Amino acid sequence: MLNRLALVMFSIISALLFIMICLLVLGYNPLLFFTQGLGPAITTSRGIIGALSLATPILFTGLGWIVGKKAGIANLGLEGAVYMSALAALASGGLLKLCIGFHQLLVWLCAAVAGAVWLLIPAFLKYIIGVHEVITTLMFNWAALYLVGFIIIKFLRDPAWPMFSVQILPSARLYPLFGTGSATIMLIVGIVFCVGVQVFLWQTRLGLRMRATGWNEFTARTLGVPTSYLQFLSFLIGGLLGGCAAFSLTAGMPPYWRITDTADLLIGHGFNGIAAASLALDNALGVLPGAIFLGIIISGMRFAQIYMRIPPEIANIMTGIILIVIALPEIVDSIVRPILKKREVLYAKKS
Amino acid sequence: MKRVLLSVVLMGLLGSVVLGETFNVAVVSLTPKEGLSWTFLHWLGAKIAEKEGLVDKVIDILTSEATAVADLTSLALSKEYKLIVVIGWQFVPAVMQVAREFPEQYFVMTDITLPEPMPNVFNVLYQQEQPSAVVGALAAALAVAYDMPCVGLVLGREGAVLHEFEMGYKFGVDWALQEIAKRYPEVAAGKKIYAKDRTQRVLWTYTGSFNDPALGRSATEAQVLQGAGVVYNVAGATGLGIFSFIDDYKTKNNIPTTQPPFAIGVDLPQEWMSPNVIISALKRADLAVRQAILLVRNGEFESFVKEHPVIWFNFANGGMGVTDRAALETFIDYAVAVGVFDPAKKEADLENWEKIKAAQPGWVWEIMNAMYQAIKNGEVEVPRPFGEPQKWRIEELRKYYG
Repeated sequence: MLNRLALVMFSIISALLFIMICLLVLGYNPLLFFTQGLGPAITTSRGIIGALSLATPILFTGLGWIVGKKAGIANLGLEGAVYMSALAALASGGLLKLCIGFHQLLVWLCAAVAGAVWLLIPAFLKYIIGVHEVITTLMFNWAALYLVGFIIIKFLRDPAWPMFSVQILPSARLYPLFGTGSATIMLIVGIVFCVGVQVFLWQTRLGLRMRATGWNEFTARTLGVPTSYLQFLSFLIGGLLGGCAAFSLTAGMPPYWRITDTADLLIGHGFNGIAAASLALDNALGVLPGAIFLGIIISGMRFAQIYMRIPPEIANIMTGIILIVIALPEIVDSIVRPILKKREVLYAKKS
Repeated sequence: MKRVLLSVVLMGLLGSVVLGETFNVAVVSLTPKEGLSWTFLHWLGAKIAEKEGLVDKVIDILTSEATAVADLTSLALSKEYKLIVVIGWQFVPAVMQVAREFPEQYFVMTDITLPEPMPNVFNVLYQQEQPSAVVGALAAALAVAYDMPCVGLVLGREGAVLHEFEMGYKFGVDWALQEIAKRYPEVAAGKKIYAKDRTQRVLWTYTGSFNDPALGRSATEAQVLQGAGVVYNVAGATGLGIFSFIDDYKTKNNIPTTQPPFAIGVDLPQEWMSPNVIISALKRADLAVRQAILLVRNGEFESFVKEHPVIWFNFANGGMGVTDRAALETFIDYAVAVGVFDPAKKEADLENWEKIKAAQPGWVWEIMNAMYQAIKNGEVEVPRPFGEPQKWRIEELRKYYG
């Protein structure tokens, strides 16, 4: 645990040092990044609300990653789950006319179920044909992205604004908690889910079995734990959480409450969740500060672009590097370590 | 309309009011200007104004739908930018919200009608189907001249604006083939493109990206290998892949620049980007930005916007067009001024372009010009899938044109 914490701190410090070196080389004062970039992100109400708005969907995808990780799954398909859930949210929120309250719950349910159904496909492919989920989920993310464009253009287009989808009706919308931005009640729901997932994983028998599956699938199976079922369940839970992220990105995103046929609003949240989970040391309660930290970094980069006049390409490169550096230990841990573990077990079996 | 535009430009040139405070412009977009297409054109308009001393500084900001409201608010709150040019119809809701909150901040918004007119937003729309039809006519004429079975079209991400490019091009191809058969039956006789069904004459691919030259390259390869001798770039930076494929293909097969396959550029004269670009469909966003800058400098922004809540750029007012020598020279000079083009190559580029033009049969250019005049004079109406009122639907147009 201490090793992991040290690794995460090292990642954060390396990322910040990298930014400062880049800025110095490009002729900017690196210290200004803290006053004109990160500073406004954490000291102004606009910056804080912006960071919380950015953190809300990442909260859910981070939890989805952790649940999968605990079950020994590298669920990279949360990105695609967010896309497909958004379609369900738009269809149910934009085409149905219902009373407020019930409409919101229905849209949420539709988004959550759509995310879970989408991830059933890679889950089935893993357990019936044995295709590694990293391959299927990544490919399915691309399929989902283009399917979103196709469905919006063909079926969910706003006839008055043909490049946009239908808009979520007022009865299904989520309104900002702080008067502006897109931090809605889903932020509160996300905090509750953090506690809920932590309790599920650490205080329930099912959670214990899921963790056992993630620690050592072979041993868990030998001891009678239904590992396949639990991994399947982790895909579904991931999809449900991806749906929650999509709900916040569609019904909770003023002034749009809709997406374009290019779905730009949805892109990246699935993968940002991995970075948040990495910062959280795979602890569900830690996803909240992890997501908020990422929100601050992304928001800070935007302020730096505007106030320091950093070229947008440089700002984007730096944001990307930070996310990679922060997420890398988590990805290595989720993908490389299970492969090494399997080799150890196979070697032990042979000898 | 043309008189209005001209008078504003002249007033700006002859009697620009020198503002006592700095005049900075922010260009906000989804894609980087390095794509050398749509975003670049807006930035170029502002940058040339900076070179001429009309503005003090131009910055470009990349944003996204999720952060657009926050970014535009930050720009407005800073009070450093008199004009914010927002590129991307995705940002209309964000612009509307921030424009309402900051009525003293001026914006330029292009390619989409605002749901309600805003007194501080200069709203520009383009009839991109017009130049697309003209270059489509040229493509069809070249296909007949070189007996090619089809022409090509590579697009970015599918959406309303691109549907207008698509349909304009297909309309132009169809119109030109009918016109050639009427005017020059001996030229048209027996040509492969006439043997094809109308719906098979234009090979079209939506690559799904405005920022992926590799996709543009592979889409172009597929079309050229199926016989398309002309490929129209409607894909932004993805179109750089079209140029690179055609350049490499012709080099590898020892085909001179005066022979197909050719590329057709978009938005600005892209002839300086590749020696195989025969013409470009111009969408003069640089003029829109320049006009807005002059209006702000002259203190006439709000009165102009009140009188013209939507400005249409089309053939009639010179806001849309196709490359001619003057336009190409102007843009090469612009590119040199902002440091993206080597001035030593200017004459060679112009010479190459003249050579390509001269190498084609005269009737090819007659057909293209006939299309241009017919549209400008109102003799033909190019279908606009999303015009208001909506007279055509993309699905029905595709059933007819392919």
